[in-house]
Amino acid sequence: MSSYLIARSRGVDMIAIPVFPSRRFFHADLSFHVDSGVKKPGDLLGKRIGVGEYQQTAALWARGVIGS
Amino acid sequence: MTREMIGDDPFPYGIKANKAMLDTIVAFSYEQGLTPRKMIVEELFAQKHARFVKSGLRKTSLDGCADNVGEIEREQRMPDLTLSFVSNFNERGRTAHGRNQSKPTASRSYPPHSHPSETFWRQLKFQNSK
Repeated sequence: MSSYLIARSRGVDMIAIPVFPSRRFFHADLSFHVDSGVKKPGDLLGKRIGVGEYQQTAALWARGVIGS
Repeated sequence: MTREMIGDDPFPYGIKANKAMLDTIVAFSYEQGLTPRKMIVEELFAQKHARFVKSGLRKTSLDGCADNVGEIEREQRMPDLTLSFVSNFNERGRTAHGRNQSKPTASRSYPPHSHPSETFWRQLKFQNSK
């Protein structure tokens, strides 16, 4: 989805159909070190969080959700 | 409880049913510098050719998709479409992008649209905007 948005914003000639067979809550996809002291989402405040690739959809959601 | 939170259908099709999610991802994509403008949800999807009706059948094979064509309520015949594939270029996408291992003939492939240096610039910009 993220790559598709980028492609379309750059004028790639393609169109999608509004069918979303793969979806999940990326909110629950965060991993943390057991010794980090993180027990609940609020503990992530001020922490540094890594994502796989900047462009990927999972990372797009992770940054957006954590930032808001 | 799950139904209360998600509703009866966790995988709804169509723009309307997914509007909140689509508005959010379009905004995130713009805010994070991935798209130079905020994309309009309606421009992203084919709307004029067919109304997509969810089928009760769950088929995953390509043949299954062909069978399901009859279940798409058509207002107008769909044009012949080339299957296009867009994703960042990485190890997992190597096969799909047809490098070395396979050369798909029925689909077009769109590897990355962002040079690593540009991606790095976005990361810095996003970090500094926080």
